[in-house]
Amino acid sequence: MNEMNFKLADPISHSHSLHSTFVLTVMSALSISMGTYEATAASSAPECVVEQSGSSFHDYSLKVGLAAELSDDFVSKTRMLQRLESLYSNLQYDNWDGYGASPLEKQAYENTKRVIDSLSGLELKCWNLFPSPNGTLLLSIKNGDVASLSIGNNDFSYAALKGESKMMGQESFEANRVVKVIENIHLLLDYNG
Amino acid sequence: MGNSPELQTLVDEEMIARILFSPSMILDGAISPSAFFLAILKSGDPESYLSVWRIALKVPSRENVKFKPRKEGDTLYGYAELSVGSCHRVKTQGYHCKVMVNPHSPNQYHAGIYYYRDEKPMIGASYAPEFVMMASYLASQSRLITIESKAGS
Repeated sequence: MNEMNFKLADPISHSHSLHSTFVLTVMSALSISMGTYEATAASSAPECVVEQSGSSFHDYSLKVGLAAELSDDFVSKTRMLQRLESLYSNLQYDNWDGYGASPLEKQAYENTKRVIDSLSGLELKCWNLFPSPNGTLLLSIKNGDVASLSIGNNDFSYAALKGESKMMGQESFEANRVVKVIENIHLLLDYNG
Repeated sequence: MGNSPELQTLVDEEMIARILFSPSMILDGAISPSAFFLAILKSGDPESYLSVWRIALKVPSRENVKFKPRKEGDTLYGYAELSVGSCHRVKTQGYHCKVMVNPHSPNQYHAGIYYYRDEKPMIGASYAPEFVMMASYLASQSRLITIESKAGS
């Protein structure tokens, strides 16, 4: 079980003891071992502990907010990795889309996994992950905006459009470069995260 | 449907459907832009157009879509509905697309989305940025229509 323990000030017990804490346990199904992603309840991720130091309700709120944000971050990332794993394991046969698609490529899958590993859950939250008929994978922005990023075996391509502004390109695959492009797309679309 | 000079362009007001056989092309109600990608098929043959239905002539349903399950658990999911005008409005850096039909085809409900670069037809493009752009736009303009499962199926 992958648990992240956040020690937080409890506003109720806090009135009785400045040293009171409670532990918020966040379940994370993220487990990466030996290069294989496993959606499992058993893992050995390190604990993230936010120690209590403040005594005000404001501090408490900040910590709860941080805990929620971290939890949200892990959930988004875990979901994206689960989606990737599910697509890769389920689309290993020809014509999975009914139009003659190729099975998903192992290298494209591994490249996509590296990109997901390199992004925060908050960044990933803005994107959907889809398979492509050529055996590659496609990140597509949510909320009806126009932005997509296709990840192949050796390169990646991207396109984003907002009003008169647009960006598009095709480059050799490097996870760090993909992350940078995604950050630039977020800027183009006026996303904060 | 061949890309011959006989093809006729459909009017902007007409609605078309891109049938979605794979649930993996749908996520949280969103349609994958890759549903509008041209592909190089496993056979090595490049696609020259995307197959669509003219909704005014034939509305896709579980009864009339020829669907051969490719894997246990496969199910016909639905279709992406969009206007011909949405396709014709895509113009970027010399790229555009047209929705056309072969007037001599016995299957008049069957049309194709053709992609062009500098007025030359494109075939079998993989994931060039221009395709990504056009496909993303088409997906954003589409409405997901699900095809209900028969009771017990």
